[in-house]
This record gives sequence, C-alpha cells and structure tokens, in this order.
Amino acid sequence: MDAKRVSRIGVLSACAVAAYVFESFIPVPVPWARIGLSNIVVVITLFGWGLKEALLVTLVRIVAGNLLLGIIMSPSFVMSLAGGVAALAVMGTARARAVPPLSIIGASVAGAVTNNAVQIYVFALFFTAGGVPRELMGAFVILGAVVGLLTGVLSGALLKKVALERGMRVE
Amino acid sequence: MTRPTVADVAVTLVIVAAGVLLLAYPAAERPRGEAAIIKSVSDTTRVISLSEDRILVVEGALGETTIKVAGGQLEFLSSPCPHKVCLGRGKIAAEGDYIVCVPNGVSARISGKSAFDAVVP
Repeated sequence: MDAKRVSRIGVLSACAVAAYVFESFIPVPVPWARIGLSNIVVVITLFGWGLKEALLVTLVRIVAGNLLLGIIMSPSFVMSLAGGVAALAVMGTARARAVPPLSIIGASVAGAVTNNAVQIYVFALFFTAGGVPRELMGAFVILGAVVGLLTGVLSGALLKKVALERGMRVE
Repeated sequence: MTRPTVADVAVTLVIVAAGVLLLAYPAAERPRGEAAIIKSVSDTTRVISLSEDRILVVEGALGETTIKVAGGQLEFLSSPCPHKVCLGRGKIAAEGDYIVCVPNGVSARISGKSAFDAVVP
C-alpha cells in the first residue's frame, strides 16, 4: 500500500471517527440511535474509492471511535462492529449489482437499515432470552430508512464536489 | 444535490412499510411480572423476586451497575456508561419489559414472555 493511499485512508478514517464521536452525544429519543453521520464518510469512500478502502475506514472508525468513547470492551463494540461490517457488505453489493437502478442514496438507505437491524439482532442475542423486541426493530428500521435517505443525499452531493475538485471518476 | 432515483424511493418505501408493520402490530395487555432475570457479561445470572424491595449491585464490563426494586418496579440507579441511557429508561414492571446497559453488559428483564415477540432462530 503506498503512502498516498495510507494517508488518504487515515484522513477519511479521522473524519469518520470525529463524526462518530460527535454524534454519539446528540440526544436522540430512541436509545443508542445514531444519526449515522459517520456513515456519510463510509459511503463516500465506497463510491469514490472502492470497497477495500471503505472497509478499512469502517474498521478504523469502529475501533478508534469505541476506544475514544471508552466502551471498547463492551457489547456495544460488538454490536457496532457487526452492524458496520454488515452494512458495508450490503452497500458494496448494492453498488456492484444494483446501482444503475439504485443510486448512492438507495445504497445508503440499505446500509443504514442493515446497520440498525444487525445491531438490534446482536443486542437480542446478548440480552433477551431469545426474542427480538419487535417495536424496537420497527423503530430502528424506519429510523434507518430516514437517516439513510438524508445521509445518502448529503453523501452524493459531497462526493460530486470532491470528484469535481480532484478530477476523479465517480459512478 | 443528487436526485433519488425511482428505485431508491421504491426501496425506501418498502423498508419504511416493513418498519411500520413491525411497529403497528398491536401489543397485548401485558401483566405485571413477578420476578426479574438479571444478566451480566461479568457476573452470575440472578433471578430476583419483585415483591421484595431491594438494591442490587451487579458487576459489568466497565464497573458496577446498581439496580433498585421497589413497589414491584425495577429501575437502574447508577451505571458506569458514558451516556446513561439505561438510567433514563425509568421504571419497568410488566412481563417482558427490560432495561439494558449495553456498554456495561448488564440487563434486567421482567420474566414472562411478551406476546408477539419475533423469535430469534
């Protein structure tokens, strides 16, 4: 991996971690809900530079973000890891297979919903005696769709701007 | 601004519909529970009766969570987590209700199955 790539991943990861830590303090009606600001960085990385880059940014964001918040040795770390990786898998697949009908926005929605659903599922595995709380899942699925839509639009706009400035090819 | 495509909107609507279905399914009237199961990633699992008032200290991943039982209701009094979401949950009493401190890995669930829960395979 060359120096340019390493530093690019470093900068993108730093943005993602900053967004993640920042948004964790925003009060939200539903517990553990995140506005998903850090997902903007992951989506932009995915569509601008590819899956491998996006995976690295995701992993660094989760590890560093949880380390900073002091919760790395805890179930929420496992939850966010499972959610983040699953979301990226879904977005990567969406990008590779479904992007002509879908756009970065659709991929972002799919990613946000997957992230939320997987987090709830892992939470259920840890904590409930075999039941997934239906209302919680419903609320997080809707939240994911709304958040994914907003972050998708923002990501699309930001990516266009970045591509324009750097002369990058963007799908 | 990027415009959403028709496919984007369709996918989003389907997802929102699924979420609404999950939410709107009517929850049955749930009876007050009699006992609570307290689990922790770093402590033994305990089953306690809700008819006896008490204060319980549970060891978790980050430190101690204090649980209070009074008047048949259970609440978390203190926990070493950064955002104290578990403390804001308030008091629970119905069967199937639960409070969880995710960072500390501690949960309390009122025993009795809640109707219409999806089953984790």
